This record gives sequence, C-alpha cells and structure tokens, in this order.
Amino acid sequence: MKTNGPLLLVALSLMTCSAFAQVDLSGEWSNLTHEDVNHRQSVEIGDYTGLPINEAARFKAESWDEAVLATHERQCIPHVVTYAMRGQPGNIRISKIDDPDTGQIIAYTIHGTYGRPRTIWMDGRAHPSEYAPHTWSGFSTGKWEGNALVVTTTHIKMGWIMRNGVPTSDQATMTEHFIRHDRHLLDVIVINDPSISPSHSFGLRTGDSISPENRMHTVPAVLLKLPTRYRIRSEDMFPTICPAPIHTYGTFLRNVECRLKRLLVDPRLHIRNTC
Amino acid sequence: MLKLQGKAGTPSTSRPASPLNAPAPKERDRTDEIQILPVQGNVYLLAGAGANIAVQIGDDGILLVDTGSAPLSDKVLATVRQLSNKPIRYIVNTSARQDHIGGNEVLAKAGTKMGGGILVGGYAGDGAMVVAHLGVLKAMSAPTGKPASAPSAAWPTDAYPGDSKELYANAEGVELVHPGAANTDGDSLVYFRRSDVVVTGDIFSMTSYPVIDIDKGGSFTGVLAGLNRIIDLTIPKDWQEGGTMVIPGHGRIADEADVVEYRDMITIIRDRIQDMIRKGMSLEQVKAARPTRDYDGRYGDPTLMTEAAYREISRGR
Repeated sequence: MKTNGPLLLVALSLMTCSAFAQVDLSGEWSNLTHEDVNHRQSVEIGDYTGLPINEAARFKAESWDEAVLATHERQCIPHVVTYAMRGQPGNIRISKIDDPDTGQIIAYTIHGTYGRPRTIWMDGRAHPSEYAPHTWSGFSTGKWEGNALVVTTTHIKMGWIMRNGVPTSDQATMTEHFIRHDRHLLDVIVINDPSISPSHSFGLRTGDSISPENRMHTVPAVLLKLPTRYRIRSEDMFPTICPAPIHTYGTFLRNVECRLKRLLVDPRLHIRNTC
Repeated sequence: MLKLQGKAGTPSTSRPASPLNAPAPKERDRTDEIQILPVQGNVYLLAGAGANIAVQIGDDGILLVDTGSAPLSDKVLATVRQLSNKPIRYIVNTSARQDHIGGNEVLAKAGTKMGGGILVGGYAGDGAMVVAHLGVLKAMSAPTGKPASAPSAAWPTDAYPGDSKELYANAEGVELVHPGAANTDGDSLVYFRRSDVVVTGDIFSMTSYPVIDIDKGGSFTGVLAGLNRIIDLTIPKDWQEGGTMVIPGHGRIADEADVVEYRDMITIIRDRIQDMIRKGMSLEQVKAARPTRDYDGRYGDPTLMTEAAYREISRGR
C-alpha cells in the first residue's frame, strides 16, 4: 500500500494537469496583413461588401467624412477594439498574469493592437454594471471551450468596424474565439450590435508566432456575413493559409468564403460543409 | 449593505487592474434596485431612481444633484444612507423635470442646512438647501392663488439668476453653470472641480435624444451650446478616454469622447434639418425623410426632437 501512494499522487497530478492544461497563447505574434491590406486599412467609402449592416449603419457610413478625425476632440482617439484586432499593422504581445498564490491564470493582456492594451479576465468575474463607463478596449472576460479561448467584450465605446465609417454602437458585444494551432493563432471575431445590424458581422484575424527570421506571413481577414444557423466548432478552426497572393478583391472574397465554409459546421445536419 | 457596481476611470491595463476598476462579483447585478457606482473622487452615481442622481460625500455632509422620481424617494434616501450618515446639506436641481426633482421634498426634509456666521454651532435651520437656476423655481412655483406644478416644500430655497453660481462643499469647489436655454430655460451643469466630475442633467443623455421643451424656453441650438460647454469643461486623459468623468441625465457614466459623439450627432441632425428647411420641405416631409435614421436604433423615437428642431430652425432662431 505504501508504494502505491506516490503513484496515485502522480496519476492524480497528471490528470489534473490534463484537465486544466489549456493552450498557451502567450508570446509575441506577428500580424499577417498584406494579402487584404488594402481592404483592411484603406477601404473605399461605399464599399460595404459582405457586411450584414442595416440601413441605419449604411446611412451613417455614407455620412461619414474622414475630416472628422481632424477635429480637436478626436485627434487622440485610438482604434476601438471592434477594429483594433483586425486593423493593426504591427505585432502583438499576449502575456499571462497569474495568481501568485495559486499559480492560476487570472488574466491575459494583449499589447500592440491598433487600439489600447486589452485585459482579458479569466477569473470568472462578472461584467460591470450597465451604468459603468465604456472604454475603447471594452471589458473582456474569457473562458476556455475546448481548445478555444472564448472572449466576450462589452462596455465598448461607439466606434467602427471599418475605416470607411461603418459604425458600431456602444451596445455592441464582441465575441472572439482564439484558437492556436502550433505556430498559427486565429482570432474569430463576431460582433453583435442591435443598433447597426439585424445579424452578425464576422471577421477573421490570424497571426503567426514570430519565427527566428521574424517573417511576416500572408493570411486573409475579411468581414463576411455569418448565417446564424452556423456555429463555430473550435476543433474545426484550422487556418488554411491561401497559397497564392490574391490579386483581386473578388477572388479574395471567394477564397475566404471557401475557407469559411470549410470552417463552419451546420449543427442541424451534423456534417461539415465542403467547398 | 453597500453595493458598489463598478467604477469609472480607465487605469492602465499593463497591470491586471480592471479597465473599469470593477469588483469581481460572481454575478452581474441587474436587479431593479437602485445601483451605487463610484464615479471619481467624492462623487457617486445613484442609478435606477428616475433621472440619474449624483452624490458628493465628505466631512461637511452630503450634496445631491437631483433627487429622482417622487415614488422612489424613500428608497433613494435609504440608498444615500448606505454611503454616508452625515446630514444632507445641499440639493442641486439641474432642471424642473419631475424625474429630477421628484424626491426634493422627502430628501430636503431629511437634511440640515449648512450655517455659520453669528449662528451658534453653525445651525441654520431644518431641511437641506435646494439650489437651482431661477428658471427651475419659476417652473415649479406659481403666483398666489394659482396651482403650482410642485409642492412648495420641493421648491428651490436658493434660486440663482444669471449664468453661474459657486458652492464649496466637502473640500471642493462646486460650479453651477447655466449654459442658457437648452432643454428648458432653467438647466444647470454641475462641475465638481476637485473630483473632476461634470453632472449634466438632461442636456446630455445616454439613453435618448434631447427632450427640448420649446414652450418652456427650451432651444435646440441651446442644447448644442450646452453640449459644447460640457466639452469645454471636460479634459480627457490620454487616448481621449477617462479624465473628467461625466454623469448624464440618464444612462451610463460617460467621458468627453461620449459627449463629443452626442454633440456631433446633434450637429449632423441640425444640419440635415436645416438643409431640408432651405429646400422648402414641410415638417411632415422632413419627418418622412427620416433625417435621424442612422441614430434611431440607438436613441429611440426622434419625433419630439425633430419637431422642436424644425420649429426653431424654420423661424430662424
């Protein structure tokens, strides 16, 4: 009996590790933008291709004038979180904050986005009161669902999802799935905003961990309408990198749509869509 | 039990501090109870009792900005008592609207004026001092023999004319600013200079378009001027976030960026309606053209504001 004690302890430890071991997202991640960089960062006014926005959002976007950014009160605004994860050109650093007593991760922080630094609380705390102020980065909480870190962000300031005036309101909720596959990190962004959209808008953002050569890789990111019947299954979220540069936006969209169909599962049919 | 519902301000996220300094309760509290939110410095927000109520606490006692709806007066008083047992010294009303002055009578009666001078012990009588612009007193009172819109016990005891009044309470200067006719002809902004908080009354709302009562001296252009005055008072921290915090008449705590968004919306709507009037469009035609449709999903029914703006702009005020 005596000899079984340490074995049992080791077994329990392994099980514990296995049960609670999550994918490590921390580190430095390079941003992959150039394939759709024009659409992501310099989209023309009036180009709302694929966005499930309602008439109000379209009207507001069409009324938008970039000169507004020159007004005194807007000269220091950062990108709001609904755009910051997609639009930023540089690299990001994801760090873990752990409880010094228990060692458990209580938060992730993300620095280097196109907006303000983000904190993703992992300690089960609730979101603040509806009367609490909103910020550019919002208030984020995360929880693991399988291999995906699901991050819910509320308390976001009024902002935008495109650089051509397509708005988001302060009623928006942003849900992200961070999924890591080896050196690839995928951030699937769903924005639910009752003020601007009868449906969801949908975005993809991927990044590669920085290789020794510090290379930047190609990967598309675009907003597309996501039919509500689809659900995202984290194990299906492998970012298939399109092999060749996309020279036209139309081709680009078709490729991304193809990728999305691969990634999505129709829960009613219990089969994967094929492309 | 004191229930704090999160806090304003946006500290750096380089350390694991909440962007909102929120505590970590297990469940989000969405009950119908009046919520207490620390705003900044000595100032707290009481939300859920009609219009927003700001509470400033300190050694002198309690200063309230607005008192909510009358039926909730006792609840408001009990909630204020969770913050401080000191006497209520001042009540400041930002306008004469019922959801702002409804608790005046009960809350003033529960307080005690600040006194001084030759009065021993600084005692100057029962009841808190109720401070408001002269327009509020006019709206709440009536000449002898005519019915008033509010009982006399709820009226301002200290009504100021002109465009400003200064108070000093709880170790900070409190500036009352009358930005001219805005929603009504008696609006006040209240600026807590040390806590760095502006309480706006209904000139700025996070839940609706401005409700402009032109018949009582309100002005669409005046609301716009009032919003610009708020922006003049506020100074943001870095990244145009935080800094001077703003308590609107209704809805969540805000900062300058939120006021700017609202001001720009009002400006855009004014320009659209003005343009339509120049084209000779009637009020019905303007309404049918829906010049506010990009904001209606956020702020609700624009009818009253559109009518007020049309009436004012079309007569060239």
